[in-house]
Amino acid sequence: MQGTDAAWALQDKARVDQARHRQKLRQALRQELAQLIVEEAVVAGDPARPVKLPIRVLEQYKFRYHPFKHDQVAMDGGEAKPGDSLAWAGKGPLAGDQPGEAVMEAEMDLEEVESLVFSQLGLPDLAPKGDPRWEDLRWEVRDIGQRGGWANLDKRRTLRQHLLRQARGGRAQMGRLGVEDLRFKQGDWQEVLANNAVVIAMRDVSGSMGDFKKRMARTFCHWMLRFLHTRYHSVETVFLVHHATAREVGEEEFFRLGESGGTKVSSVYALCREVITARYPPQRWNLYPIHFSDGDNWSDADNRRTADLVAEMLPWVNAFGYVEIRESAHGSTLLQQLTKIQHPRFRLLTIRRPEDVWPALQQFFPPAPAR
Amino acid sequence: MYPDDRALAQMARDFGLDPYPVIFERVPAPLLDEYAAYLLPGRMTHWTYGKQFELLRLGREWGMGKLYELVVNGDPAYAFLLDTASEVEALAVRCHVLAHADFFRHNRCFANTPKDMVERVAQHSQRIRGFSLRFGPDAVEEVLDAALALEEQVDTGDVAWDSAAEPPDLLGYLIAHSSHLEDWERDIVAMVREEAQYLWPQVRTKVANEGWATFWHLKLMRALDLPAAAYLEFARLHASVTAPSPGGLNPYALGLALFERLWTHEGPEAIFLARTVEDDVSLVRNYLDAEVVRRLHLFLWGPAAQGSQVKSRDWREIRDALVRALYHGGVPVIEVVEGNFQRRGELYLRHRHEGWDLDIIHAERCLPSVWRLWGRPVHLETVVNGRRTVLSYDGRNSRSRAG
Repeated sequence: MQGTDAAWALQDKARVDQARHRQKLRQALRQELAQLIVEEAVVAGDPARPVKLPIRVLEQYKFRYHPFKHDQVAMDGGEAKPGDSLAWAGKGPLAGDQPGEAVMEAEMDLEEVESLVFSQLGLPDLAPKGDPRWEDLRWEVRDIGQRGGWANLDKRRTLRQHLLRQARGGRAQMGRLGVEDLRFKQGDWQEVLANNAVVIAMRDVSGSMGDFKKRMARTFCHWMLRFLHTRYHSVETVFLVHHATAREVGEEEFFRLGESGGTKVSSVYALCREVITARYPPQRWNLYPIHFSDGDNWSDADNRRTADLVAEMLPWVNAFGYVEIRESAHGSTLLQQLTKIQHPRFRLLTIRRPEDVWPALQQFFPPAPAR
Repeated sequence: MYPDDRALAQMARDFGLDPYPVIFERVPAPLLDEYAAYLLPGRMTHWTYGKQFELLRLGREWGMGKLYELVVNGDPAYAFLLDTASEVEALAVRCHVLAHADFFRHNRCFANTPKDMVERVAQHSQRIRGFSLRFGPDAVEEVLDAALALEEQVDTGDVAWDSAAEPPDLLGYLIAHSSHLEDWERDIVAMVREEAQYLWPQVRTKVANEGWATFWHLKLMRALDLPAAAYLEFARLHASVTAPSPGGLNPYALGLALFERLWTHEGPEAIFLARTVEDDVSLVRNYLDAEVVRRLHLFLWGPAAQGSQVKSRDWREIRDALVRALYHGGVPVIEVVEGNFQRRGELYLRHRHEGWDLDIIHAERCLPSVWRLWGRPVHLETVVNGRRTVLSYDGRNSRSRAG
């Protein structure tokens, strides 16, 4: 006995209702994923720590007065004088920009957000690649038997056997578990081909790529990498930046850099091809090149050169993404050129607003059709 | 060394209080939060209570509010006290609770509340569980969602209506006249209404009830002749209970100031009379004066051309604004105009507009709840920025027409 707390533990209705509320909140969140995944707290967060996210509480709508349309009585220390403006007004727990849009900071595990995100993404063209040297060992269940170590006891099958035996004796209930009921999982170590992926992230760092574009590229990359990590044993990353010329950089530099100068997209695609052929042979690696640009390219000639390079690399990759980030409504000449490429592994994505990151991700990693 | 429950109750009676017998129980914080979330132990299950429970738990963890007690109005009254409270804190809380039990027994707003509500809600909970088994938890939740959205519409503020007349409140009307509800659904709505009606007097007397309890815990604790250290501990608790909340109004502080003013100027008989006959609206209307406004540093604020502004410290304006805010528990009154609107069986409701506009977004999202219980299109007439506006919902689309 642990004192009074244990005695009260029988009453768990509040916890059941609390769980139901959280479940409903999660369902509501699912609809707001587009907003959620671009939150800075999520992208930059430490996965081990819960993050506080501005989440609309699951509001129970009731007939009520407009919260800010009329005069109200409050108390203070006597210091405020008529005519003083109030800093706190409109920022109370009930306040939002709009009536009815109460915003609450809810604490959520980053893991929870991620599992929600990943549950709605799928891997394109998952082909095991690798040469024999890259084999992994994995314990796999091959059979179910009547003998085995207790650690391998298959509780569900054991129970089933027992109930079947009881049923044969005409008893529709649990009896004494016997040795003959026990079932154990039996298996051995299997050699499996390792799945390895490499993301080749490319980014335009020319003068026209502002803070918004950087942030969108970073957000997209973040989710792409997190997702691939859940699906492959190892995920390597290569970061390439370019303006008129291309070069390889470190991760931090990749997202921070902003340089002046013109843009030649073909330069980075050529470098990408070089990286693949020299370091990541397609027969051993699952390749995910992705390029972020605003589409402002040097010339039409370079647009064509770029398209040719894409076509050359497409047979090697699992998916090749071109993400155009621009705030204006119409696409660039580069985008028009690339639209001509019709290939199942080529993905053209555009991001105009933060909310577009989520549909773009889903387009790049299309969720498996519902079973 | 401190008086026990019996001695404390005797002391309260010597001061003129006449509480119900109170059954005190010390409970751990999570259970106290649970009781406070449901307001009644053993009440039916619904996610909104779970949300409330979570908010209370978070509030406690973040140090934003510490609940010490929950009293259930009944004969006997049940009082749940926080088991980690110190002896002095527990003593003060018991004084506070005895005054609540006196208020429940004598205030006229509670004259018709059932005294065995704990048993009744346990039966409700049982019935809801039965419905969940028969019709599925989702079907039950859907009806509860709709009924609970309207749970504040159980009283229209009309003083004189006898029970033989037509129930004038929206929930009562739906129960009596909806031809759409299944028997078990009607039963659920009726249970929600019964519980909401039981709790409604507490909404209407928040300031008076807390003020009364605070007034008496102060009086009784002072009369106990405590050692200085214990008294200091009590003073600290009392100060935290009556502290002004920034930008808000502390009902404990306001109620206490009103009863203290009454005690000082008109004597003990006047406060016992006020405890019997007043609700929040009449208490403020009759007794809030310049002295109380000054003492509590009350002020009026509201929307201005640029953001929000302090508008006034004039006690009359403040009193009138406060009466307006407390009217009908601070909840808009939705009246039923007719149940056969345009002879199509549609429900026509009117918001009794008394100066304050509705939150239109909330109102729009409430109409599907009304529709769920009525089964035919529903309309709500109100006034928005001085213009007559009718919101409608027909099961698929929301509409809003001005003029």
